[in-house]
Amino acid sequence: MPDAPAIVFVVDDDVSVRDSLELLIRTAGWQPEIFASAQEFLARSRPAVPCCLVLDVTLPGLSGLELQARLAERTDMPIIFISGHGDVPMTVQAMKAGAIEFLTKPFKDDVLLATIRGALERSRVALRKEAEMGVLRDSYASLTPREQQVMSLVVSGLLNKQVGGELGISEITVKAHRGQVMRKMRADSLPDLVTKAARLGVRSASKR
Amino acid sequence: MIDRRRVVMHYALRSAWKACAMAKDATITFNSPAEEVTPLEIVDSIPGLVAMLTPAGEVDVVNRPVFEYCGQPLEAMKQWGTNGTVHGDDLPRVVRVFTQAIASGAPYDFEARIRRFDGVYRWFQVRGLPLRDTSGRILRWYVLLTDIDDRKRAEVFLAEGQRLSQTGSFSWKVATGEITWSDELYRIYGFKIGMPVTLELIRTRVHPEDLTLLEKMIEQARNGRTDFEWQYRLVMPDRSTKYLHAVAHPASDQDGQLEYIAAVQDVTARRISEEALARARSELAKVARATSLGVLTASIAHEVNQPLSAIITNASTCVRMLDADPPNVAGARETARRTIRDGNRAADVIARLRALFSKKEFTLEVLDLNAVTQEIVALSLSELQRNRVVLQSELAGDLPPVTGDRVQLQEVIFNLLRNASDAMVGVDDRPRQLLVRTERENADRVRVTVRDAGVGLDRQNMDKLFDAFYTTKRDGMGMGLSISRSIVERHHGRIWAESNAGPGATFSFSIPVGPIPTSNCLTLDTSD
Repeated sequence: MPDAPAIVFVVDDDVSVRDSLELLIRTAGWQPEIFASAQEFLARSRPAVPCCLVLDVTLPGLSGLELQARLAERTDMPIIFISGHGDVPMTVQAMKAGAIEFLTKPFKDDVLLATIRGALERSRVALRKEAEMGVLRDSYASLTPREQQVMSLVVSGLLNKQVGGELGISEITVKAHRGQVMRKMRADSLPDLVTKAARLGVRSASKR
Repeated sequence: MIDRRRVVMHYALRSAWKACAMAKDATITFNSPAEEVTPLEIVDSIPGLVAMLTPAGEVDVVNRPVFEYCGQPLEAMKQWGTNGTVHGDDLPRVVRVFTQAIASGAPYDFEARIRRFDGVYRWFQVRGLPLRDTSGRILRWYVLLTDIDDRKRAEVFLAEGQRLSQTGSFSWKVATGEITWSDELYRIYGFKIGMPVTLELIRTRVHPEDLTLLEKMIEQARNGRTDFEWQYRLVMPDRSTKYLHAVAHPASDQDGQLEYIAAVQDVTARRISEEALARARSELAKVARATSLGVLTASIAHEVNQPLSAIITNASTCVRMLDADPPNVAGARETARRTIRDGNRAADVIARLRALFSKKEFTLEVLDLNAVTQEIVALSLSELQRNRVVLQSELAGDLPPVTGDRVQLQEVIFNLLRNASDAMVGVDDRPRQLLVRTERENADRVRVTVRDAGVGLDRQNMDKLFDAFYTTKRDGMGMGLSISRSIVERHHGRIWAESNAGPGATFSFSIPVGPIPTSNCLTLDTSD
């Protein structure tokens, strides 16, 4: 996975711009994919590799800014705007909505390439985090209901004895469940388990 | 005129009264001893209405014309203060003036309506003079009543006319500075009627921006004897603005001194509607210009920018491919080919654009360049006035007709006028003088010249002036002069610019007189 070729999407309604960017991106060593409209791009399935989007602001039909709004959840696909006549309000709106750069045509190739490089790095980080979360979720799902109860009480700071009291089971049984939790969650210490619980959003089940 | 006649009458009658006065007390012996005349006979012979009063003011003797006018016996006339002899509206004032005069012994002079025998009231000027003995004691009062009804009627008529037309009038004796206003003018200025008028008083009302104009007018009036007219504004106490239009005519007063007679009309309502119209028109023009030019600019920028951007990217990629180890020559060749394609695309955009500009309709007709100029000047006038531009036209009287497109030639003149006006926007240390002149350049050509007193031309960029997209204005498009040049060239004319000896610039164009050869018209529509 880490070595899969990154994809750079280009959405621009101008054929010259599209073609020139395709060549430049390929020459720089990435995989370009070009689209003439926002709708065409939306029809493309989500890739499982690092990617970014080079997006023209003024597009027929769905505009660049509207497409950006639809992609708001996609932290793994940073957006670089390019525009023939970017005005200030448009730039502000794009940047506020999370674009990583706003380039005015014509732009320097190395500026664009450096920006793409940065965008792909972000994408990689976002994908890694997502993958980690996926693993974490799977681990948590593999716990029995009793183990999940024990985990939430343990991470809220209760001692084994107190956990036993809460659940009406012996301290020995608590210890056994706790060992299972640590193993299944691949936690090497209590602080590690607490961190993972926080990322999963596991809440304390304590009655107190 | 009336005044002079009145003065003469006054002196004539005064001598007559003196004669009467003596006659009442003693029989006057004239040169012919045979004719002894009684005082009453003398008084009766005066062709005016004359009365004599006791020192206490009681009516004592009246002459025949008085009886004839009033149709009342003397006893009834003594009761003039109560029996309706004097018009009820005038009576309180008359009684006040009269009793004051009798008490103080000072001569009096008032105007009042007096009833005729048939019940009709007519306006009279009533003047009373005391006759005193050597010790200064009043012996009797002499009263002369002059029928001024016709004059009064004319005055009322005039005042009513002034009120209705919101036109006041004034006279100004230049040497003495004496200014007389009509009632309506007091109303226009919002001053109390009858208040003494001075230039200082007038200055307190005149709009600060128009004070210079006022001073100039005063100076011009002092120095010359010409008719003139001007427009200025007043700022009223409630901060509202009034627009006035004044016309003045020089005359000589009785002593041969320079005196101006002027009419001043309140044209506020008209100006406000004119301004609203002009504003609406200019806003409309601005919107139309902004939309067409804005859309045009955006589309030019976009259309040219796209291939340009691609060209730059392709060229960069090409360099990268050649720099690679080993160089990707085939890729570079293909990229260079694409660069050429995009370059041609950009050139196409420009060609399309040029076609768009030159596609205007061109209608030829025989034209009087003076009329063409006057029309567009009239249309631009309010805009120029708003920019406080002083426009001067010098249109040649002997201009031969030309053949051309009226609207397009007007567009050229309009562009020159607007440029001239814009060039003077920041000018405050000198008049924003704008001269439009038409003249015969030689036997074959006529010329239109627009001269301003603005910022002038930058010597370095003189040759760029008529290029498209060249502009010195902050929000200019740089199309005006470029379009103007293409229009003038289509008329087989030429357009040029010169720096003035003083401040500002002069733009001129000249076109041939007579018909344009028709073969040239055919070439006009081949742009697409």
